[in-house]
Amino acid sequence: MPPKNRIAKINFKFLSGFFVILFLLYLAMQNSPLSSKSTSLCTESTSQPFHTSVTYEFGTIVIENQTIYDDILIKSYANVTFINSTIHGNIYLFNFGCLNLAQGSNITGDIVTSDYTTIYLTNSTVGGRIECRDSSVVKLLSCSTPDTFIWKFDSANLTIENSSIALFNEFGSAGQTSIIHSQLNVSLNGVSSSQVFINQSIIPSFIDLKMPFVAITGPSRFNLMTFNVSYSTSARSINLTWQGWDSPIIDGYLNITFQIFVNGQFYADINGSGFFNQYSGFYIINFTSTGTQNISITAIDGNGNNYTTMVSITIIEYPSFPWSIFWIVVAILSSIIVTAIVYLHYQEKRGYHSSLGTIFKKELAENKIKLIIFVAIAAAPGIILFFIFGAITHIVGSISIDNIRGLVSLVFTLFLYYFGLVFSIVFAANAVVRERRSGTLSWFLSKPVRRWEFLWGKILVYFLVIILIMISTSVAFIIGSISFVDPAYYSDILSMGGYIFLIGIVSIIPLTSIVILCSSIFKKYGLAIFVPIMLLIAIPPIVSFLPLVTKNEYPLLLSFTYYFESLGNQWIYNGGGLFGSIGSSYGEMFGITITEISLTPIQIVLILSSITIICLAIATYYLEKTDVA
Amino acid sequence: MKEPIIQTYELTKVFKRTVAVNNLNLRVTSGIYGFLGPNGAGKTTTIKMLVGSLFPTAGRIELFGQDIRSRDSINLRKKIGYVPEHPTYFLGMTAEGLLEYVGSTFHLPKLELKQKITELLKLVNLTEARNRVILKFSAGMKQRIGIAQALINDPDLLILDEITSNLDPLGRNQMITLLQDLRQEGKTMFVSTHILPEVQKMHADSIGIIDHGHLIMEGTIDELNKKLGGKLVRISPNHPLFRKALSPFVSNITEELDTFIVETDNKDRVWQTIAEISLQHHITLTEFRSTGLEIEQIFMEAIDREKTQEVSYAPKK
Repeated sequence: MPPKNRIAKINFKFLSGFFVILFLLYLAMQNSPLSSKSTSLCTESTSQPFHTSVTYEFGTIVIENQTIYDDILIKSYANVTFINSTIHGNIYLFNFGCLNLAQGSNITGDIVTSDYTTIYLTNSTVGGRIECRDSSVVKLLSCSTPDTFIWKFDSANLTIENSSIALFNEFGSAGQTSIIHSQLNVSLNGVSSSQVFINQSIIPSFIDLKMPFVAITGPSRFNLMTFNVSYSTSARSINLTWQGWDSPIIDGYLNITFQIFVNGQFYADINGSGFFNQYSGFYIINFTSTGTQNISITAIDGNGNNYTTMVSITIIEYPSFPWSIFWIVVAILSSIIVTAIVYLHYQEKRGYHSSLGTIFKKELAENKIKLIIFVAIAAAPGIILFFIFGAITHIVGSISIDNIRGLVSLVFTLFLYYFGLVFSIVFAANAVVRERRSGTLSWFLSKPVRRWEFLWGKILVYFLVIILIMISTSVAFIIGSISFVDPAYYSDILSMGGYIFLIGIVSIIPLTSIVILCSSIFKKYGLAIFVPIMLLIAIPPIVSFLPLVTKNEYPLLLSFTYYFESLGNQWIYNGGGLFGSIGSSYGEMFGITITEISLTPIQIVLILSSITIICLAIATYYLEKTDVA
Repeated sequence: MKEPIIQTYELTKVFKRTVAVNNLNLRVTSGIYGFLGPNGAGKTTTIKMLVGSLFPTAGRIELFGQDIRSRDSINLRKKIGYVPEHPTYFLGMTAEGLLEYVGSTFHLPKLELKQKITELLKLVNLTEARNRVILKFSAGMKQRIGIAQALINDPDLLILDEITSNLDPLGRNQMITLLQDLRQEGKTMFVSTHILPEVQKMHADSIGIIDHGHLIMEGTIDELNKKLGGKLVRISPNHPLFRKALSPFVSNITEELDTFIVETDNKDRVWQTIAEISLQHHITLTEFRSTGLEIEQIFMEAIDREKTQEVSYAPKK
């Protein structure tokens, strides 16, 4: 049958071709450099017939003067040594595998470790990167390999000695890294339990993102390098601590002296001690000026050797509350009020009757309960902070002025905004609209009461309540905080109290004015509440995203939160805003450069005062000129 | 001629497209002025313009001969007491508290104010409730405290908007008696109502009837009767000869047992005819007189006339 014969002929051709290819592959394997083994103790196995990778398990193998084009897997206690060889693939180590790359060997790919593996690199170069993972041990000795990047993860232990590499990038959670007599860029990103000791090395670029400046690693010798720690504080005294390891200045048990210089001026001599090659010291430095402070610590051993470490600290000075100006303003305002009362009294005798006082008294009496509740609530943040500071002090032992400022800024920025919002809605939203709707206003204005008196009698009560509320907030904060700080910072606490009062006053008054305006112009109660709530709650998140469109932060001026935060940042703690920075943050994320606006407190106060004046003027004009029934 | 207490000149109020008050010319002198009109006629709008809570779209108002928009309008308000239609005072206050508060806007001396409050609470029969919150008052009590607050300044002019509408019959009678007493004290009262018999009970000195924002009729009850009721003649006995003789020239004959009423524009001719027939047929004439209308009839007549005029003025299709 013709079809059957044809199939048989095709099968025969196919099988013949297959066997020819297998034979050629066998010949190719026979010509591979890996085919020359130095020892029979090592078991070689190929994962693929084309030898794209080679795996070594158990035993010891030494490969000399070879060029290898495959990836190499070293695992299960295999100990592989390359001498004067070139590897064009990557090397992977698993399960107690050990790699020795020695005497002129070089690898163009990467070396990746894991699971208790060990690498010794001597007089070798690595073209790719070295990933030190898990509990591996990696030692580089006399390796001049300027293109190598070393990544340290997990709890790997690493020693770099007399070597030159491109970058040491540290992400460890534990383990140690020792860098001795080497040249490399260093970037520390791990946690503090992953220790890094640098000694007598050249570090052109050093980035320490591990933690705020707490301890200086050293003194070690950072040749050709400016060790600039970016650390800012509002404290005028810091407890500077330092530790040194593996320093050649100590050999055995020696007395050493630390000399501290601040801004080039000798500050203190401290007698320290070391044991073997470890030593540490601390000293409290009090700063007399603000701005950048350059501190150097020179360690001098008994042999006269000295090594210097430098650190730069920026002392931020927040403004002191201008109490004298504050009391002058209070005195002027009090005088104006007293003069107004006396004037009205005098005018009354001449036949001019004003009902402002009558309405003021009635409103105050009517809102007595609300006033007490709000003044009590206003003290809450101060009381809460008292407990927070107490807890921190109990656990940590003390609380820094930076921490206090940070917490105060966060708590009070949020509190003042939302409390101001609730206050203005509860007090002022129904100021006019309720009485307009019920007809009370129409009836009441038939009495000898001027329309503006009716409105301003209420407004003055709200302003008085805001003042009382802010006194409550500030006093509660001062009482709640002052017992937890060093007496040297009492003035800071008083200043913060003063600024909390001021921020509350300059922010809540315009906020309330907007609500009063809405209450005056809207004839429906729902609108009078809904519109200010939308203005004050919905606008901040909306405008904070607008910079993404406009590429500048000017839309933020529409948001009240911006003013709260900006004043808080400038007066209490420069910790960034919660609302205003959203746009900027997202801008950075999307690679958009956003032009920032920076207004001085005076400018902000002027803007807020203008908002207040405009709102109240419109509200008064509208009430004077329109029907109330 | 008495000086007017209230005088309006071409007073007009327009709300968007609705003309609530249209060229209203009022002249109120003294005593009780009944300001009548159906619901929606423009009574409350007029009152709110009088007390200053609404601004006129056009025209002007004079109270006590002084423009209410003058600089001294505050002093004008010291002469006014106002009771709104719906008593919505500061409901959280007590009766005494409200009177104290309102009194303090008039800058009354404290002692005088206390004395006045006691008197007024007694007058409106709320002495027992002086410390009760107004919110818990009945509608009648709210209306009475409204009267008390309006009298706190001993006003010369009381403007009362539908004050009896929320009261029971007993309360209405008490209120009417109170208003009559106040008239005796020489106060002028501008009383707006749509409950017409009460105006009659009050013995209103003059009446203004408003409809669709127009003042359609104004005057004393006698003057209005002359205008509207002057056509009616009551004749007795109800003799068929009389009716037969009159039927060609009277428009309407209403029979009432021994009496009948005819409506005519020519009373002299009616008299002449009746006199001739009674002499010719020896019929003894027991009654022949022009008859007046009840206030309700006056009101209805005035409204009907206004409607007729509106129809006759309406463009023919």
